[in-house]
Amino acid sequence: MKTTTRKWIQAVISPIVTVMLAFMVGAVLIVVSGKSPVEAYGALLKGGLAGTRSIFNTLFSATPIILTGLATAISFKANIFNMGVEGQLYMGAFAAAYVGFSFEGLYPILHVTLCVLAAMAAGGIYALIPGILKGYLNVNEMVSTIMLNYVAILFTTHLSSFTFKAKGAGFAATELISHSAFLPRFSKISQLNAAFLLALLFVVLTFILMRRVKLGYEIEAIGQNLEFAEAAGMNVAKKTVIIMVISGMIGGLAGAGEVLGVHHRFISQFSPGYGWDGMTIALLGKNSPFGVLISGLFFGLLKNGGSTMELMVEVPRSLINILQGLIIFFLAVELGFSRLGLWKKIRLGKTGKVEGV
Amino acid sequence: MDIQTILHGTLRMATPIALAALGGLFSHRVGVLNIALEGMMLIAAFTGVIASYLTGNIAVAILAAIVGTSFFALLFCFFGISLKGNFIITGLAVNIFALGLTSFILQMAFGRRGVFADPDIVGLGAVDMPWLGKIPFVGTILNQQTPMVYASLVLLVLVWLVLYKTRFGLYIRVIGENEEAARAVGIKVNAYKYAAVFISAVLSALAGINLSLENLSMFVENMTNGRGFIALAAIFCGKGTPIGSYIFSFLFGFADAIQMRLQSFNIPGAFVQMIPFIFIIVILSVVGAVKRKNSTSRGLYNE
Repeated sequence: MKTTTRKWIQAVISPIVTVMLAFMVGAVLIVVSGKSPVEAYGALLKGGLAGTRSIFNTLFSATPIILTGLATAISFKANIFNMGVEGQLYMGAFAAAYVGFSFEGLYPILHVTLCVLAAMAAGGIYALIPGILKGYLNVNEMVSTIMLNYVAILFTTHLSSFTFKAKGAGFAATELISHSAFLPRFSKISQLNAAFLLALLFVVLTFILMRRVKLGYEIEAIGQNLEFAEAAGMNVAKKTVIIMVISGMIGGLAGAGEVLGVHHRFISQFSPGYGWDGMTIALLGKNSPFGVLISGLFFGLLKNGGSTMELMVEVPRSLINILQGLIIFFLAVELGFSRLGLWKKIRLGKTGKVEGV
Repeated sequence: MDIQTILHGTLRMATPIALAALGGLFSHRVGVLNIALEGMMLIAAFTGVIASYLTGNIAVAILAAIVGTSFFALLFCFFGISLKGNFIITGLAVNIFALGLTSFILQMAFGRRGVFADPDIVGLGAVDMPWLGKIPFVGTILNQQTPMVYASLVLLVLVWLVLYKTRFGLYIRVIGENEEAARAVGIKVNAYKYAAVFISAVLSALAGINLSLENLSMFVENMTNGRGFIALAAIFCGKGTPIGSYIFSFLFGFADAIQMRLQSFNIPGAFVQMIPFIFIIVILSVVGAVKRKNSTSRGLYNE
């Protein structure tokens, strides 16, 4: 009981300390560029939290990155570095748009469901490629998924600028999807829509997958000790493929949310790097579903408040990227420390043995 | 004639990848997975352009690029090696930090967004060596290239010599093969790891200079466009050997050059642009399949 409490405190305190450290370094950068960090961070918080509209917009900004964070967390937890969520998101987004504009007059619930399923299938199938390559040929998944990101972006750009380009559109985008495929908005003041509820639903589903289903424990086992999982008789190759596909499906869903809830069509290169944000969020959330939810909301706040900061105090939004990089640095070390603790225990056991001999 | 033009282009496209790969293979051999190559190249491209713009001196630009990447190498080493952080996560941090910092400085200090082009930026042009051009076939490929192309060829030899003919190279390889044993015989493992990462930083700096000052004379946000990861792929495929890594960099450059040539034909651009990326995945798979066939151990193992 005591250890679980301590674990909880650690799980909560370490991300907070990490974030504060990053903000302090960020403050130095702001001072160096001749602005006031208090004003800048004040504008950031105000833009993200002051008033219903700001809060709605924060939730809206958090929606896609909670989903990409979940997608990333599932693979990172198994020590599989799926850096291709960005590409899977594009494939999913396009599939959702395709189903969205191809059918008309369906019941909204049915149409939305079809779009979401198509997106998840597209994302999953796209992640199947690096999954199989990793599982059976031991191709480094970081390199293959990043290469596939470029392929997905080029492919969907081609589809939306030639094959399925909307008539008369001045930019590369498909036709609008049917109204029956729209995810409804909650209010007129913000673009926040039902995709946020989908994100929440998947937080819960991922939690169930990780904590209540056998596969969840297998993911953890593979992540903690691959050789052991293999020796214990687990079909690691097959599990690797399954984990990648699940990760890709959630990535695809993130894309569907943007198409069905925000743009209502596929727009070429619409994602400002949601897949990459997902990695930071997964790491900050310690690969746990609720951790991802909280850090996703936090980054939603930063993104939403970032524009306000840029407008009001003229501190560029790219500061958020810098903070992101710093947070990951500190997180990497924190992970290292906990591993160090583990190592010490193992070493202690070993040296004890040696001394005994 | 035409094949020579393509190979000339290949050498040009392969150079940034080859430089990053030649440097990165030191980290690979010493057992540090360095995905920060991407961010280091980007920082070098940026600091190089800024220094060239401010001073108009190309030597200063190269030096600035090296200082820039060294700073990031120090961060990477401190967090990854000294504090024992996860290399992948630390590398990811370098990449994201580099992306943010370049945009931030560009906007704060120079008031530009996304692109920095200015007539004051001094670039490095192609070098004409008539004697080289006279050699049949190879001459037209090698002549009229930019300085970093020649540097990459010289470095190929140098890296090979350092890795296989010096005590330093021997220790690097020994640590990579058995870290505990190396430590036991008194090799300062961490110092060699730091050194290996710094070598990759310096060569990544040259790769960045090649991107921003030789081919374009400008900085574009995220202009490395995955080349750091492509270099990593070249190292994996080449099994961490200098010649192997160079050959695969050359092959990836070839795919890129072919892509550039095909753009003029009536094939949809997107599919042509995909060629290098798909090519890399195919090559990685083939190499993986061959390795698997020759491997006697069961199941997966980490690279």
